[in-house]
Amino acid sequence: MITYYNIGRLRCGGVQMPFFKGMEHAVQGMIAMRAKQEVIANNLANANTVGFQKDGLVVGSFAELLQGEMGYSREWMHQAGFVPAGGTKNGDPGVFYKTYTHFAQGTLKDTGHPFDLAIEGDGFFSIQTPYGIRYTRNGSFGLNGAGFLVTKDGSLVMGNKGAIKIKGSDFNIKESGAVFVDGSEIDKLRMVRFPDLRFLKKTGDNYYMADASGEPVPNSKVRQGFLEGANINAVREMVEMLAAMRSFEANQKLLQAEDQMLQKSVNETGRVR
Amino acid sequence: MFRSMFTAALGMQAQQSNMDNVANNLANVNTTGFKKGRIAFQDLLYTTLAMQNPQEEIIQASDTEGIPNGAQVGTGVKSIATERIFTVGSLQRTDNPLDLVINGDGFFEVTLPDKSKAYTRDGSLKMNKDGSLVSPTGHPVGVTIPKDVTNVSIKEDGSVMGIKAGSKSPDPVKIGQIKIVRFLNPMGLRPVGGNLYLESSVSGAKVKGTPGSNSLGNIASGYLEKSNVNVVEEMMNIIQAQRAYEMNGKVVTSTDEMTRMTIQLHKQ
Repeated sequence: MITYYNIGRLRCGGVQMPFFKGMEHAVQGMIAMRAKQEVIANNLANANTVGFQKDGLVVGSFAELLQGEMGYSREWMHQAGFVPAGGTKNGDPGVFYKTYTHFAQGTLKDTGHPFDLAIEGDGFFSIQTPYGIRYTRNGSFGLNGAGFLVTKDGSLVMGNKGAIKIKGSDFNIKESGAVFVDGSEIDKLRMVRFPDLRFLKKTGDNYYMADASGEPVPNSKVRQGFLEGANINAVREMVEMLAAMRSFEANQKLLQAEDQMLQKSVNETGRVR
Repeated sequence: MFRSMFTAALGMQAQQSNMDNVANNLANVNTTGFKKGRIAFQDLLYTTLAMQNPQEEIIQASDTEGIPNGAQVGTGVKSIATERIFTVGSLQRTDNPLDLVINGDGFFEVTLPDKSKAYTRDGSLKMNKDGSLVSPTGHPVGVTIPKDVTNVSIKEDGSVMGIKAGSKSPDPVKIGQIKIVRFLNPMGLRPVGGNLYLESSVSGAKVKGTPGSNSLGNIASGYLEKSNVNVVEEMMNIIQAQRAYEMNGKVVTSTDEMTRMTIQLHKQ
């Protein structure tokens, strides 16, 4: 029986059917395009999320990635971060894809609120959450009941000396990230950058988690009274979505054509009278 | 397949909330002392695009060794708060000496019937029958005008001046002082309607003083503070919300189209 999860390798009674190869590739292409659609949907849904960095998806076929000589290994593909679409097995040519986050500066919006901060340039704010240290570009901060600078979900914003307690009536952040309360500097915001951005993983609530440690940020500015918008380009997303859908459709047509060819071979050519 | 549809549906809901907020802002464009709102959004959990069949010998997309993740996708957006923006609104001249505006940071402090304090930007003060200056909601500001005093005026620093009946001098004398209060985090104040706000645990340190001192704003008499809603900005927000709503809608129809194509694979 041909079941869905076997469709990558289309077996009949345990024996792989070689003439289904064309279909395999088409199905994998459809699965990859479906994943791309999901990535685009998330980008568009987050058009108004502060500090949101858009995601993208790239598709590669095994042959292109391999470049001929290197012995194909699962580990190599894995190292590069690609996942197989559908049921591609070790040693099979097939469609691979990966998602990535496209880090770029979003537009700064002037809000006038002293607890709104935006980063102009590289880097992230460091936040102490109940789950560990997280990083974010979302500078929409506030105060908690004990007077500490927190994110909107109550997690502490980290300065170089730890959590930032604001005991005073005037609060200023300089472009360097230095925190001034009532005119005197009490701390500096702990801003971090990552030379290899691929190590950042989104965890939701505008947070990123990193397996690597970050380094200090040399050049960025912190703007008080501003918020960074999402860096999605709506036109780009719509075009990508159209491309994904047409690619999906092309693969679907290919599958239908293969199906017809098979039908001809099975029902007409091979007809037993 | 349907994850992108649900994600897009959440996106549309978010834009709907956005529109609701804009509608409220525009409805209150002429409300004295109204402070515009904005909504804070956050993205939801990210999930790894694991393969369909765990029994197959396929390495999962999720990683625990620090290697960049193969395939992660978000699941949409949620709104977490509606916040008030405390910038100064536009001024409207009334020539009524008891109409006050704080030009800068600060709130008028009023006393509620249960002796607790509330704060407001609405300075359209009136005198009640006892001569006490009260806010539009009827709560006393803390200054009482004696019965025999006329020509009440209020200066930039909050001094209440008047001419006592029977006084020889034509110059007004000081009969009271209005003090105002500012907060470190006015966004943390709790709104209770009638343009009144209550102090909360997150509104931060409070500074009470004479207008003009200690970063407190000056008082302008004969003016009212209208809302701080910027109509042009809200119009832009409408356009943006509508287009974003449309785009999310396109994702839904496009996903629907892809589903239809998948179903058509099996054509009888």
